[in-house]
Amino acid sequence: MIAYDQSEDPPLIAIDCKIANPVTGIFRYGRGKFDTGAPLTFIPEKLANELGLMPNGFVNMGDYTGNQRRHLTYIVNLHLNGFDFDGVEVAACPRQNVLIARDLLNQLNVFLYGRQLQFDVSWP
Amino acid sequence: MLKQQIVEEQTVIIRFSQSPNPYPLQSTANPQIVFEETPPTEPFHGSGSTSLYPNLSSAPSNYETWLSPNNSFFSYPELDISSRNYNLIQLEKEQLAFLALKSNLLNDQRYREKYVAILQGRVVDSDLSLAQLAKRVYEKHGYVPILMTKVTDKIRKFENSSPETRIS
Repeated sequence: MIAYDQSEDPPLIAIDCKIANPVTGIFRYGRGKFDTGAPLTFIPEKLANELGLMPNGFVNMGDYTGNQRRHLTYIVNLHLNGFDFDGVEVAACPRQNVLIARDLLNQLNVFLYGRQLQFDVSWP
Repeated sequence: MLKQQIVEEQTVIIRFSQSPNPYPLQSTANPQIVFEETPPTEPFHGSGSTSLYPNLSSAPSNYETWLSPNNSFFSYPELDISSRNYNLIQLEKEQLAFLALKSNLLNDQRYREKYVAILQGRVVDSDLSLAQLAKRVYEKHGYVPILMTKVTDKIRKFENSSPETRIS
């Protein structure tokens, strides 16, 4: 079981993650927030620059206000607390942490024990 | 003309000249490029390096592919823009090439509903798996801007309903 991250109020479901450039192997560690409302995993733009990632395409994304914006996409290796996703496509935007979205969450079993502020993740 | 660009992530020295060719061939000459990485000011947290593609050289040497055989820069000779912008310009060109090819690709059963890699305006590889495609094309062509996208008639448009909130 993993404890909810209580650095925010209300507490959130977040996990340690490692994002790596699949070619050079350069990596960074950070925190990834689970977001079942988001369809595509996002990483901070700054992180994409630090890792020297090469963009592989574009994606149009509408935000919660209805505004449309085009984002660059990158191919990364993402490791979530023991779960490896190699060669996944993520988008980048100006944010502080990784947003782990349904494209990855739908490949996992995630159990939320909200009253205990704990959750569990496993492979199906 | 020799210019030195100091950009946010790296220092690149590039020999500029007038060359109209937007898609240069692979350079075999000795390019006048020096790539120097500067340490990030605020690391994400920890950091390190373990390459999963050991057959590939690191990213800096791939900047050679931007040079034409006569060792000249392929376009935008007078613009002082960063290497990141060059990547974006190159990717935009590949995106335009993909849009021009898209109707033909949709009618071709070899590519429909598959990921394709577009480099120098043409399809260089395809696969049902984006990860496998990326591994192959980066190993073969180097870590350069290569458009990898799915050939589908569905519009690739997402909605992200979750706002980013910050604790003040």
